[in-house]
Order: sequence, then C-alpha cells, then structure tokens
Amino acid sequence: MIKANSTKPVWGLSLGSTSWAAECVDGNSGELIRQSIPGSKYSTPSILLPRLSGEPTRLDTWTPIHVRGSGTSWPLEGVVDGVVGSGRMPVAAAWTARSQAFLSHDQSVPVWRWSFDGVSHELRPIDCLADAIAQLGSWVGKKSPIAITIPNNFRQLEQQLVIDRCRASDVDVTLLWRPIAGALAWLDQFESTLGKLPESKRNLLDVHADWGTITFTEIRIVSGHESSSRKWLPARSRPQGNDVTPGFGWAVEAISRKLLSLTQRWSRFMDGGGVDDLRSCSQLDGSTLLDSIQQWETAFVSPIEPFNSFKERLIRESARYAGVVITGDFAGFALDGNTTLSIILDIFAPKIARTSIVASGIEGEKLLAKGAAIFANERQKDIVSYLDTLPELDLFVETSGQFDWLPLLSGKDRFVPGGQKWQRPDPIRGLAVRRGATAVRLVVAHEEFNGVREIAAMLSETAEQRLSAELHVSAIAAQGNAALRLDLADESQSRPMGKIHADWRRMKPILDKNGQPIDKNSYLKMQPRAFPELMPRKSSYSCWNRSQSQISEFIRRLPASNKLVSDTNFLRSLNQAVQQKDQTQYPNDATAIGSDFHCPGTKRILDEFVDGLLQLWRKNKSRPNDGFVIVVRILGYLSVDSLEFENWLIKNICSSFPDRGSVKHSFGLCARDSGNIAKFLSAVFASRDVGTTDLKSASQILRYRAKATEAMTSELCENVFRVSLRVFEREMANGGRSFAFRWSSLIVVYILRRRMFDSGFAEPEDKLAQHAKVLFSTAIRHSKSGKLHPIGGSVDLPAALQQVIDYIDKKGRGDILMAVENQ
Amino acid sequence: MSGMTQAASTKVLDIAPDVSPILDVLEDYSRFIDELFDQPKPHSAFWEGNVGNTAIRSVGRVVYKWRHSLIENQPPLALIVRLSRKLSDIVSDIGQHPRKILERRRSMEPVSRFRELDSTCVRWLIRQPGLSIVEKAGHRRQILAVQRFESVNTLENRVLVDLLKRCRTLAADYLRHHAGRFPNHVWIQATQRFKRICEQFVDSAELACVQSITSLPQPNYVLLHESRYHEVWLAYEQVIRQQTRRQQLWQSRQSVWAEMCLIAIWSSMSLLARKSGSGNCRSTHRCDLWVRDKLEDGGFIDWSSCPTDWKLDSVSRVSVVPAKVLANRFQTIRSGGDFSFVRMKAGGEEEFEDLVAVGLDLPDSNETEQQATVSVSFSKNGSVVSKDVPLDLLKRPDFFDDRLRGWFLDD
Repeated sequence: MIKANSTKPVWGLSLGSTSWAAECVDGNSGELIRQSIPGSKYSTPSILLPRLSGEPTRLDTWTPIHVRGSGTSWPLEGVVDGVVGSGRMPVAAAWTARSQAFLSHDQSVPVWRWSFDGVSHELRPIDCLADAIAQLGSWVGKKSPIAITIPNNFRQLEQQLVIDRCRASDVDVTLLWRPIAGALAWLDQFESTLGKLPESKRNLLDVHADWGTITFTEIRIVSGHESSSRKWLPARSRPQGNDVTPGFGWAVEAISRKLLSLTQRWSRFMDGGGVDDLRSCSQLDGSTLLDSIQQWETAFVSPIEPFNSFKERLIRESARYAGVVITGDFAGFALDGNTTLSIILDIFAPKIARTSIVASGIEGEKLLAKGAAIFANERQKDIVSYLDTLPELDLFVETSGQFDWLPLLSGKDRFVPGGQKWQRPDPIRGLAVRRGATAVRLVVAHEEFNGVREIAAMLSETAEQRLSAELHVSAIAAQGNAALRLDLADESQSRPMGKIHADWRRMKPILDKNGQPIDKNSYLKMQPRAFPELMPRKSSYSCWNRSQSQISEFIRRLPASNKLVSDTNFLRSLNQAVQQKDQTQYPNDATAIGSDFHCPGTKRILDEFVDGLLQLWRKNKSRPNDGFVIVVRILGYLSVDSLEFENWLIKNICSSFPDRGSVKHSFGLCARDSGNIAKFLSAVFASRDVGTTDLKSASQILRYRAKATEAMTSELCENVFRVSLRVFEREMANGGRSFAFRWSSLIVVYILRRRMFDSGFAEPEDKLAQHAKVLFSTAIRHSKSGKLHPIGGSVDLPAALQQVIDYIDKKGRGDILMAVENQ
Repeated sequence: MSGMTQAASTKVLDIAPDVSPILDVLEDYSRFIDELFDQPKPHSAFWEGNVGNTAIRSVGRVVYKWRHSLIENQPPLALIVRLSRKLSDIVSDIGQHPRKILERRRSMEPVSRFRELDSTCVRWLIRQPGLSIVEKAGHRRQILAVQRFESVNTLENRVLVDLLKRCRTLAADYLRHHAGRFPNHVWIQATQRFKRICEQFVDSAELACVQSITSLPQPNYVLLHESRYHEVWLAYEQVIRQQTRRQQLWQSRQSVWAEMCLIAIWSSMSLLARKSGSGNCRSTHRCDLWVRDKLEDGGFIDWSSCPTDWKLDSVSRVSVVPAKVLANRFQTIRSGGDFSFVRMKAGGEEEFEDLVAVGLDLPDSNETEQQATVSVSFSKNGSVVSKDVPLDLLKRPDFFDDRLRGWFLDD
C-alpha cells in the first residue's frame, strides 16, 4: 500500500574513508534534486576526541581543520606523534580498525589513544563511526528521513549503536547495506539490460577498495517481490569469511611518502590527499601512519595481489555477472601508472565492462548515496527495494532429553524483504515449561557475538501443570536487534499464562569461571544430560593429504583390478594410510575420512576411490582371499555409506566367513541401519563371553550413530548393559589392563542414549543402575589406590569413571573422557 | 611593619570604589563574557557548548561578538534590567503580602486574658507569694504568660529586603549611566519602575521591622521551594555574585583589562588577516577558547586552550598571547609585560623576527570617564614607546584596526 502523504524529500548518505556524499531525492518524482558533497571546503572526515569531561566528540570535515590533532606544533593540542597519539581520529582509521578485526575474527578492536593534559583519552572505532554518521546525518538531513550506507559485515550491535546515536541527534535514520546501495544505483542505470539475461547471469559483483580492506560482495538480482512494484530486486546474502581481504592503502601511503616527515604525511592525509598512483611498488620499509601514531599493526598486502585476485575472479566467473560495481577510495588506483581495476575489467571481461561502474572517492560515495536515497524514498512509500537475509539466532532447547540449538530466524539463503519488519510466519510451537518451574530461562546465541546470553523471567505463579509455550520472532534486517516474545499457556486449560519479551541487549552474557563468554558448543556441553553426546571420528586434512599418493595409485591401477586384489602389500599400505590417526587433533579422534564418510578434500576423488573398492569387493566376495579381507577392512576405515555392503557384513557376521574379525571391525565402523545394529548387538551379546572385537565394534556403533538404539528393544538394551557390566567387573578384577575394560565402560555409558527413545531406561534408582554405580565407584577407589592400570595412560581415570556415574544419574556433562584415547 | 604584612594590609584595603570608570568598563567586559557564556550557538557543523563551568567557544565567534557587541541604539542588557523584568510583579506581590510567622513572647497579661503558660511562666508563678492565682497576680492583676503575635522578621524577608536595597543601588547606577542617552527605552523605563518598587517596599511600614542581614545566609525551605521566594533567592544569588565579582574585578583590574585588550587586538588581527587573503583568519577562528563563568587567575579565559597564530600573509604569522603562555611556547623568551606579540617567519617555530611586549598602566580610579585612558608601553627591539588607549574599548571595537599594522608590523 502506498502512503498518500509520504512525499517528503529524503536523503541518502554514504560516509567513506576520506570522503562522503549525500543525495536528496524528491519524494513525489523520485528525481535527484540536491546533493551535498565535500568540495574544496572539506577535509578528511575525522572525529575530535574530547579534552574536557562532558565535552562531546565532534565531527571535523571542514577546512581549515580544527587545530586539535592537525599536526601543528602549536598549540600543543595540535601535536601528532607516536608518544601522545593524536587528538583526532580519522574515519578512515575507524573503518580500517573494525574491518581488520572482522578479517582476523578478533573481537578486540584497538582503540584510538591521545595523551594530553596528563590524561589518556580514548575513542573506540565504532564510537567514532557512529558519531561521525550521526553528526553528518544531522548536518545533511536535518529533519528529513535519511538512509545511511553501512558495510555488508556491519554487526547488529554496531547497527544499533549507529541508530541510537542518530536518534539522539534527532536524525530519522534507516541503514542500508553498502553493496545494496551500489546495486540500486546500478539498477537505476542498467536495469534494461537484465531482461535479456538468463537467471544464472543475474548477479552483480560489488567491490569496495578501501584503505584497510578490500571487500567483494556478490548480489543476486531477482525478479520482483509480491510487495514491491520493482521489476528487479537486489538480494543480499550474509557475509562470508572470505569476502574481505586486506587492503593496501596505508602501505601505499607509507611507500609513496616515505621522504616526508610524519607530520607532513599526516597533514597531507588530513587535506584529503589520497594516493592515486604507485609507480614503484617497492616493499614497505617504514611504518604506516596508524603504526607510527597509534602502534596499530594493520594487515596489508602488496597492491599487485588485489589486482591479480580481481583478474582471476573475472576470468573464472565473469560469465555469472551482469555487471561489476567498484567503489571506495582506491577504486581508481593506478598501479605502475596504467593498470586500474577498470582496465582489468575492460581486458578480462569486456562483455560486462559496458554495464559496470568504477567510481572512486567522492564519485563512489555519490553513487552509493544515490542508491541509499532511492531506497529511502521507496521505503517511505512502503515499497520493498531489496531482499535481505537475517543473521543466525538460535534458542537453546531440550527435546526428548536431547539439548540443541533451534534456529529462530529464517534459513541461511532465504530472502526477506529488506528494510521491512520480518515476522516469522509460524511461531515456534512445541516448547514447554516443566511442571513445578518457577521461572523461565531463555538462552540465545547470536552469530555476531562470541558468547551466549540468557534472560530469566519469574512466573507469576508456580507452574502446577506443564506450560506450553510459543515463541514469536520478529526482526528488521540491518536495523538493529531482533525481538523475541514467548507466549505461555496452561497446557490443560489452554489459558494464557503470560508473555516474556526478550531484548538481546538486555540479556545477560553467560560467563565461565574465568569470566570469559561461553560459546554455543561449550554451553551445550555444560548442560547436565541423561545420556552422552555422540563422539564421531573426524576427518583430518593432513591424513587425507598423506594418503593421497596411495589413493591415486589405487585409482590408477583400478583397470587391472585382478592384479590389484592380489597385491596385498600395496593394499596393506593403503589400509595403513586410511587408518592412520592424526595425533595433532588430540583429544579428538581423526583419520583421513570421518565416521560420517566425509573427506576434507575433493569429494570426487573419494567417490572414485570408494567405487573402485566396492567394485573389487563385489567381484571377489564370492571367493574371499587375503586381499579381499584387506579391502573389507579399508572400506571399514572409510566408514563407507553403502547399505549393500552393510547388509553383506551383517549376513557374514554369523556365517562361516574366514575372517569374521574384519567383518565385525568393518561393521562397527560402517553400520548405520538401526535394524542391522539391533541384529548385531543381539547376536553379539547373546553369549556370556563377548570378545574384545565385538565390544569395540559395539562401542563404536553406539558412539558414532545417533539412531543406534532406536530399533533395539529395552530388553536387548538391558542385556547389553548387564553383559557389559559383567565384563567390566571381570576386567576390573584383573587390574583393567585390557581393551575390554575400556570398551565395556564405553558401552555402558553410550547405551544410555536409549533414554532418547525410552525415557525410563536405566533409571538411577533401578537395580541395574545401582549395581553399575557401585561397580564404577569401586573402580574409582581401586584407581585411587593404584590397583587399576588401564591401557591408554593419560586419561584421568577416576574422573572418567565418575562421569559415567553422573550420566547414569542423569547429571552428565561434556564429552566422554574414556572415549578420548580410543585405539 | 614587615613587607608581607604591609602587602596584606594593602590588599585588604584595596576595596572596589562605589564609582569608578575602570570598574564600569570592566563590568561591561564581564557582561560581554556572561553573554558569551550564556549563549552557546547551536550549529551542527561547528559545535559550541558549555561543559561544567567552562564554555567552549570558537575564537571566530569571540572576535565577531567583540566587533558587534556595541549596539548604539539601545542600553546594555544588564543584570538589573533582567531582574526588573522578572521580579517587578513578584516583589509587588510579596511586598503587599509578605510571609509571616506566629511568634511567642512572654509578657505580663491580665489574669482575665491570659491563654497560655509555658514552664518559665509556671516557674515565675510559683515564685510569686500567695496561694491562688489572684493572690499571685498581686495588685496589678497581671501574671507572666505567653503571648502570640504575627511577625515578618523571617529569613526570607530579610533576604528580600537586602535584595531590594542592593537592586535600588544597582538600578540607580544603571540609570545614572544610561538614562540620559535612552530616556524612553523600555529597559530604562522598566528599571525606573523597578527602582520605585524597591524604594516603596524597603521603606514600607510592613517591612520596617525586618532585620538586616550581616552575612550570606544558607537558604531555608521557603527560599528553596516557595515559588515566589525562590525567584527572590535566585536573583539574590545573582546580585551577590555580581557584586562579589565587582570586588574581584577591581582586585584583578590589571590582568582583566589586559585580557580585554587582547581580545580587542585579536578582533583587529582577524580583520587584518582577512584583508591580507581570504581564508587567512579561518584557521585561527576555528580554535577553541575556553571561557569561564567566573574570574580565576585574574581572568575569564582559561589559557589551557590557546588559539593558533594569526596568518597575515604567506610568510609571516603573528601570535598574540599572554606573557605566561608565550613563555611556555618559546622557552628562550622572557617578554615581561602583560601580553606579547611575536612575529614569525614562514615555517619557523623557534625563529621569530619581532617581539613586542605590552605593559599596561591603568589610571587612578577617580578620573572621569571622558578623560580615562590607559597608558600602554610597547617594548620592541629595546625601545619603549608609550601610547594611550581609551578605556572603553568595547565601545570602540575598531580602535586597533588602523594602528595595528603601523605599530607592530611595519615599523
């Protein structure tokens, strides 16, 4: 619906590193009617640090610049050097600091320091940016609605800070992703070219070449949304880790002005003097401005690298792009006098060069401001201008005794209307508050924060009945925090019992005993549990690499498969390679291929390798020989996902196969079908005397496969539990010197996963569970008195045994220690 | 008498005279500072604001205000004018209905009329001979009893009367200076009316029994929370502060006048720099000046924030600063005097071409306003030149414009 009265002129603003621009669009016609750009009267935008307590920060982008931190020797507040720092923080430095922190995945962003009047003044980069945006927005937009561009990786906390500062300055602000602003400006110019292109080519590459970083963002162009009158809409995906690479701006400045003094370089920089060309691309032998003044070590690369990277990307993927938008201070940077990004574009992607835009410095900011103004105008008319993806937000839940993180916002690739309020179409149902609870606790994890947070709300009365709960989630992409609302209702009477509203900012971070925030996975492991988490075998990149030569040799020799199966030496070396463990991943168990049949390298090679092995197995299964047995073992070590192979294994476990050990071994590693697993355990644990290989295979199945106990009857599980305890007791009497001691312990604890399907299994008060606890307590005593000497060594045995008791008591925490040194 | 005791007694005796052209000028200057302090100019590009007791203003704003402070078509908006506009109705109201309290007083009362006895009265009664009250009352038929009566002699009324007396003096001074030139101006009329109100109630029978105040009192609940008396208290504080400042101005007259002279010269420097090239003055104009709301260290300006040099052309810059600031900047210079001019070559920080040390010699306070000038000695390259500068620089903001180049740059 279009609002009839919303015809105010609106502004779009883009604040770059050394320049900025604002464009005003008429609300009725949508035409650009005014622009505000830094001409000769403007200098590099900076924020003046306050001297007096209570003095606000001040944006300075006018010329002549304010004396503070200007580089003059008098008055003293103008001095800039490595000892006192500088009384002004350039916006370029703030953008660099925050994006470099993103680059290094480091949450600790350096602060800008200035020692003056005997006091150390500090300013965080994000405060610098928020204040600069708010003050510039206030100066430009006055009371008009204004859309301001933000980088694609601008975190929610940063967005909220900018919004808060703008609102405090009475600025009616909306935020817009910078690549989207570029895409909207591009669409304004080249929209007509899209109709002829197939869907696979409707992508736009946005490149932002700034002082500290270079950002590549891919924007999909999709056909119009139901709530938009636009024919084409840019769609933004969440930022990926490899979107951002180090830039070269600060290094180039240091190289090209190495003959100048620090204050001269600073003055040139403050005068808005960017570096346009670098004829001699020598190594940096001095310090960057940020290093000299603030001791900030910023990552940088040689200017050649981004040029090459851009060139390679164009060669590889230009067929996918409808155009390229290049903005930022270094968009027009020339290397050795002639190579610029636009020339590379012309040479390596001439087809898309015609529909591409290279706009450097102010021109780039004008382009982005124009895109922002288009968005602001359409937003005030309730027209969807672009599609967006929301950040990952997860709620900690317990389902059937299993703890997990439940995604609250939409899926990773699902687009929602940008700039509009998005509400989860269906509330999350099936949540419940336990009987007798006096409070509700919500624990939420956000991908942009390194710790989980909680909010606890007291119930008005104790929940006598189980309370059902619905969770409503809403968020506006790029406009700050998501809102959560939990509606509680009495399950029996369906009467509402209250609502809980959670605001991320007001949620309390959960800290460990050292005061550090706890991440999602650690929090999951900390929860008291009735059964242990799976402990799968991981895949190791180094092991995969080491085994490559043998695997390649095997693939090469596949055509002569008859000879191959008889070459037992080669097969043994191959077996050795795939079973080799990666000791560097201790305490995790890792081999070339994980227990989930995934490899860290090219999947095609693995598929080819396994197809060859299965081919050999099929050919020779009717006449097994030594080579065949090794092939079966290799397939086991690969945890190959083949029902045919699994069925053959289960069939031969009870048959007269010459090497039943290898069959059991492979079944333990490959079994996935819960019916087959139930058959295997039923056969193995039918006898009183269970072999070590049987125990090992059973323990592996139970710790690798989530549904291992699903098809088992409770009687069978109890039998497995009982027999394993018997083995454990026997081995304990022998000093625990055998592997059987370890495997039986593992089976006892992992068979508790049956509680997922039968919550009454092995209740802590049951006779069998009591017996198990007595046994393990005895083992702890023996261990402390030195009577137990299990194989393995470095595991803290009393702690590992106590952990088993805790799991039987439904108070278990963390990964099973006993499983760590599995052989 | 030792030297120190003599100095101390001289300081004690250095009391501000009731009438002094120097004080009048300095009070005009302090009013200029007050206006500067009270009127931060909201501008989204160049911030100005007050931080605690300090106002941060740009040098450009200060020199602009200096040049345009004198508006010849109206009298100055002094404190008494503001008070006359604000307090006239309140004072009239209170004067007619001052706040009263019931006081108790013991006095001899006829036995037939006494109403209340307290312990003292009872003790007196016991001591009297006789058995019954009638016998104890004696032949006068009177006993000591508590009598209640209304009184206006309260702290709030004492403050009011003191304020009225002070406002009467302030109004008289203001009218003496400005009524002749602007007899029909609304501010003059308001002040005259307020003066009449003050006189009416100071001498009224209603407030005649209110005692005078001997020292600055602590405000009571009424002064802090009763709406009419609270306004009285706020006004009283302002008046006291102004009169205290008058004394401080007198004691620091040399340095305050030097500060005023400095701003006058900055104003002319700004004009000179602007004429030498557009934009030459802008760099200095953007510097912060910290203005305090009260006198400290003999001035209103906090020199912790100091303006940069005035750029006159592409080769020379001039710094006009107090002598103590100059000594901080150029360790080798000891200029003496009250303030100094330093002319520097382009690019040179420690190299300077000329140093002009300026010393002031204020006249006696009993000179008439028309005759009052300041003898200023300019010491340059060893030679000392004395010149006269008019006291009322605020009324002649362009005084240094023509003289500046000839005095300090060309000769």
